Order: sequence, then structure tokens, then C-alpha cells
Amino acid sequence: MSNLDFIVIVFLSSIVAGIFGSLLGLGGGALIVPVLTIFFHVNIRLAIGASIISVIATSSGAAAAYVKDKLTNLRVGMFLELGTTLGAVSGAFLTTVIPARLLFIIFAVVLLYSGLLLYFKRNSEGFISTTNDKIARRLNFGESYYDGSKKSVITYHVTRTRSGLFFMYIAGLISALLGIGSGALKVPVMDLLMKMPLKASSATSNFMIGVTAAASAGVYFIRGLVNPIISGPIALGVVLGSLFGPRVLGKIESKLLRAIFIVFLLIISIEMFRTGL
Amino acid sequence: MLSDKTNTKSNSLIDPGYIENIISYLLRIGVILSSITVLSGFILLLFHRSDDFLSETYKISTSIHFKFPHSFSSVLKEASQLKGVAVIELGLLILLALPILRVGISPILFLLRKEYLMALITTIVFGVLIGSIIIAAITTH
Repeated sequence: MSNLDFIVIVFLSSIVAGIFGSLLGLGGGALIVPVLTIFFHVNIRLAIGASIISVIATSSGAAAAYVKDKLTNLRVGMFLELGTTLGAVSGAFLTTVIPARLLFIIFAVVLLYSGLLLYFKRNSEGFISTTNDKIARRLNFGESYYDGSKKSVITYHVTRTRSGLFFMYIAGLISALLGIGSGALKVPVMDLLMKMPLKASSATSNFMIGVTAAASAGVYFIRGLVNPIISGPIALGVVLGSLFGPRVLGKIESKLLRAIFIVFLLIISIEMFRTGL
Repeated sequence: MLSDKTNTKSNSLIDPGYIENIISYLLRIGVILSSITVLSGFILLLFHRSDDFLSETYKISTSIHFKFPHSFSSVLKEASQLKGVAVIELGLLILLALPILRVGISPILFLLRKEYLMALITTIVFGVLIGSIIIAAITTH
């Protein structure tokens, strides 16, 4: 296969990755890494470097729209990023200590568990309008946005901020150790644990994964692991795809969004099991 | 988003909705600039190596041994020489800078609204972000 074939296939796959990634609050790596490693036999480290670019592309590409639509909760996102970034730093130190294969399996189990939880709790779309959580009140985490599918303004608040922070630390740790965006973990934590509406969780995750990826991206770039022939088409494709995510997110029903998300969680979980075993 | 918070102090210097629109606008511009640069890089690459590049096997340019500049200074230098690969990388660097800029502006945003705790939180996140990149840069060469 030629460079042209490679670039076209990767570009088209990236558009799809960008659409779903920006819609769900994921990085798109779940689609891109298998395409690169299984189909094209690209070195895994280059694939991870490319995946990091994908995460930043979907985050930055969809950001403008989500900020305007008031779906991204900047306060919650930045607060939780305290956990993620510190987790990522810890992860950088622990790379030699914990075997990666074990991590893939643990992550796969966690994702499976999240998927099941999301499925069984799908009818309790209960978000809260006030909160007793001290941090949430102190920092004004409550927000409002217009939901295009319900045709009304949704006002919500947030709870269990300390637990959320802890899980974000774990997510950051996993991000650094496995080289992924871990949006798949962030969205359920915000949605199920902290009671943020699913759409706001996805949009906020979309913001957060960009920040988390930026630190790794710098490292990977300097170490020469961001190959421009691989990452260039990915950046272009994902950006293009991520322009559509926000349009859909505004109008889609939360139930459908939840269903799509669960499917993706299962797919990613299976991929992780395969890598770990 | 940061706009109508009725229970925060009323003396914010600049209408927060306006600031968010600016961030939104800057992000959009950054993404467009990055994409145009990456695209230009590919065009330059094709221009200098014509159809050979497109038809040769992908295994060469996607191999771990494929050489390309990967320090900020070498990328800038080669991009100014209009070398396609370096221009693509310049575009990627612009993309990578966007989340960092976004986090970097936040402390200022929150300070303008006199939300000192959020300003502190965002400053810490920014610090960790920049710190990890600097440490990586120092420990690599």
C-alpha cells in the first residue's frame, strides 16, 4: 500500500473518530490506534503519539461550539483537572513499577463496570438542581444550558466532588501509564457519580481530555514520537469530524447518547482486554 | 457559562460572556490556522517530491526510523526553509498549543471576576502542565 492509500484511509477514519469522539467526550484513539496498529502495523509508540494528537484535535475542534452552547462546565472541568494532572505526573513516575498489561486489564474491567452501570441506571436521569456539596457550592459548579432535544433550559448542580476528584486522579494515572485520554472514565464519573447531565459530562470531558493530552503531547513530540505523516492526516480528519459532534450533541436525545456511549465503552473494553491478555 | 451567576460579587470588570466569546473565537482561529498549516505542509511535500512520495510504500514514512525534526527550534528552522514535513509539524505544534493557551488564559478570566479560588486552581493546573513539558524537554537531550 502506498503513502496515498495510507493517508486517505487514515484521514477518513479520523473523520469518523472525530465525529464520535467529540460527541461522546472521548479522544477518538479507540478507533485510530487499532486502525494504525492492526491494519497498518505502525509501531505502538507512534500510534499512541498519533492518538494524543487525535485527543487534542477533537478537544480543540469541538471546544468553540461547546463553550458557546454553555455545555462545557469550565469550573468543574478545571477543578477535576487538578486530579487528572497530578495523576498524570504520578503516572510518569510509576511507569516502571506497574506492568502495562495488568493496567489494560484493570482498565477494561472498570470500563465494563461503567458500561453496565450506565445501562442499569439509564432510567434514573436524575440530575439535581441544588446541592449540599461544600466544594460545589463554594466554587459555583451549578450551570444552565439549553437542551435542543428537550427544547428547554436544563439547570443542574453537582455533588460528590471529593470522590470525583479521586477518580480523576486515577484517570490521570491511567492516562499517563497507557497513553490514552481516558474520557471513557471521565464521562461516567461526572454523569453517574457527580450527577451532571450526560451532555454536560461529555462536553466537559471533551475539554478535560485536551488538557490532559497536552502535557503528554509535549513529551511525545520532543521524543520524536509524533510522526507528521501519520499525525497530520489524523489532525485534519479529527478536526473536520469534531465540527459535527457539537451539532449533533445539542439535538440528540440523552437516551440515544447514552446508548451510543455504552456501545463504545464495550468496544474499548474489549480492545483493552485483547491488548492486556 | 461563566455569565449569569447572581450570587457572585457584582463588580466584575468585563462582561464574562464577552470573554468567553473571545476564547471561542480564538480557539476557532487556532484550529483553522493549524489545519491550513498542516495542509500547506502536505502540499509543499508533494511539490518537492512530486508523485514519488504518493506512490512509494507507506512503510518508509511511517516507520519508527523515519527522520523528522522534533525540537521546537529545528521545526521552526526547517519550516522557514519551506520543508513540507516541518511545516506539517508546525501545524501540529499550533494545535498542541491550543489547550495550553486555554488553560493559561483561565486564571486571568477568573481574576477579572474576582474568583480567587478558581484562579488559584487554574494556575496550579497550568503550572503542572508547563512543568511536565519543561521537565520532559530537559531530560530528553
